[in-house]
Amino acid sequence: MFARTSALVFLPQCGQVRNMATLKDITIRLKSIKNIQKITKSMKMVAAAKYARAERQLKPARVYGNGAGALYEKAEIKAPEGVANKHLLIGVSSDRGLCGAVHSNVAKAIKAKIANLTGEGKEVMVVNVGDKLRNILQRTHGSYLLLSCKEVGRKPPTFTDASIVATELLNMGYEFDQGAVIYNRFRSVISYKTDEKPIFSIDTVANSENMGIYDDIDADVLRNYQEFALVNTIYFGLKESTTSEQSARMTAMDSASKNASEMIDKLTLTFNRTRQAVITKELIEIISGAAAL
Amino acid sequence: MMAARFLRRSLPVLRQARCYADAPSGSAQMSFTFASPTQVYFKEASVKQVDVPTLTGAFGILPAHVPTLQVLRPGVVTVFNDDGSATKFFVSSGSITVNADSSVQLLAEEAFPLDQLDVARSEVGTEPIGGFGREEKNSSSTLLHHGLQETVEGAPPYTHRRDSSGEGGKLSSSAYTSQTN
Repeated sequence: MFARTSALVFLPQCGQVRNMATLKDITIRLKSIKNIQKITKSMKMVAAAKYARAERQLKPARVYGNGAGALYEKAEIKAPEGVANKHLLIGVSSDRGLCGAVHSNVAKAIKAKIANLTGEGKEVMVVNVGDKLRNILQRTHGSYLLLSCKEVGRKPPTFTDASIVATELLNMGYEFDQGAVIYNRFRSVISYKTDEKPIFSIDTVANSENMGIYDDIDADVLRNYQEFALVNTIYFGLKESTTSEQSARMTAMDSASKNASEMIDKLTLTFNRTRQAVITKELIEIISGAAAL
Repeated sequence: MMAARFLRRSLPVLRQARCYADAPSGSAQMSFTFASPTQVYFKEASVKQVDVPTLTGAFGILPAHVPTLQVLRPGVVTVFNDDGSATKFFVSSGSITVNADSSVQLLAEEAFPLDQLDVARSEVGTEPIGGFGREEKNSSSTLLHHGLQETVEGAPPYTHRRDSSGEGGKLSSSAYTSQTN
């Protein structure tokens, strides 16, 4: 009997303490989630504006980038197979997060390629454009990093940015034979795909079989042409990447806002129920207390 | 090392012995793409002829031209459309590719239609105003002005150096072709 009464006495206290505490807790939680929802909504609008601008600038950049790659396609330039050639991978991403799987997709593609190429015994080096990529790759593949570029993603990329990257890369003196620019190709507002565009060294192009049909080329012209083509490919990768990144950020912030509003709805219901329960409990106490008098 | 690289690279040139051109196997239409990083002027359009200023001299390209790769220097590109009209553009630098299937890709770092340029204003830019930022603008306007001058008067070829300016402005002096002289 003692055990029963003590148990009866014990429970309401526990229940009361729990309710009072949770009412304040719920209020605090509700306020913080509402603030977060405001932030994600505004980030979504900013990303939408940046995405609109990036997509507009992407149209001419696409024609430009495809024109730059036309020589490699039409002349079917390939590096000689079977030779231990040196590869260069340029991963294009940005500094800022909260944009879904953009950075990890590029990093995954780079890691897969490194595994492939080192398995075949070829030498690989990686150039990062974007701090987030460096963070992902540095821990496991730090020895492959040749060059890392920061301050990418705050403003829309220009041709000058691409030329700075290419200049630094060429000044590093890594004599690569072939390589690729790995970027996220923009397909639509909700989808993008990690893709790559090939780059070749001057020697590979000069020694390629189909180059014989191109008239009147000397070493200087070819070198200038190749450097320009490298900048063009990097520029194309940058433009596509920024557009994909902004659309991914827009989608991510949109779903974050939706999740936040779902949580707010649930919490508001819980809050109201808890409030009513507390009031009912007090009423019952008062009534039963009055009845006891 | 540089000499050895040049020698190695000059071999392919020796391999292509000059001979009479083969009968053109390309299509009769030229697919002409002319773009700058920020704007597309022609996209796979069919035009009659294109005149381009290159580092080795100016030449005109007709459909079924011999495939070649060239690097542009500052000057005027003239496009002769199928209907006979001609449009002129000023280009700062870039590259041109003529492929075997008669497709031409003209990629200019900066390109403007001539009517958008004011020669008088570019002259004003060349006066030394002083201050570091102004000097950079100075040099890019000088580049442009010299290019324009040659266009108008036919001055001797201007060899431009590789500048990497941080400005992303319209007349930034990032003439990309690195001509080592």
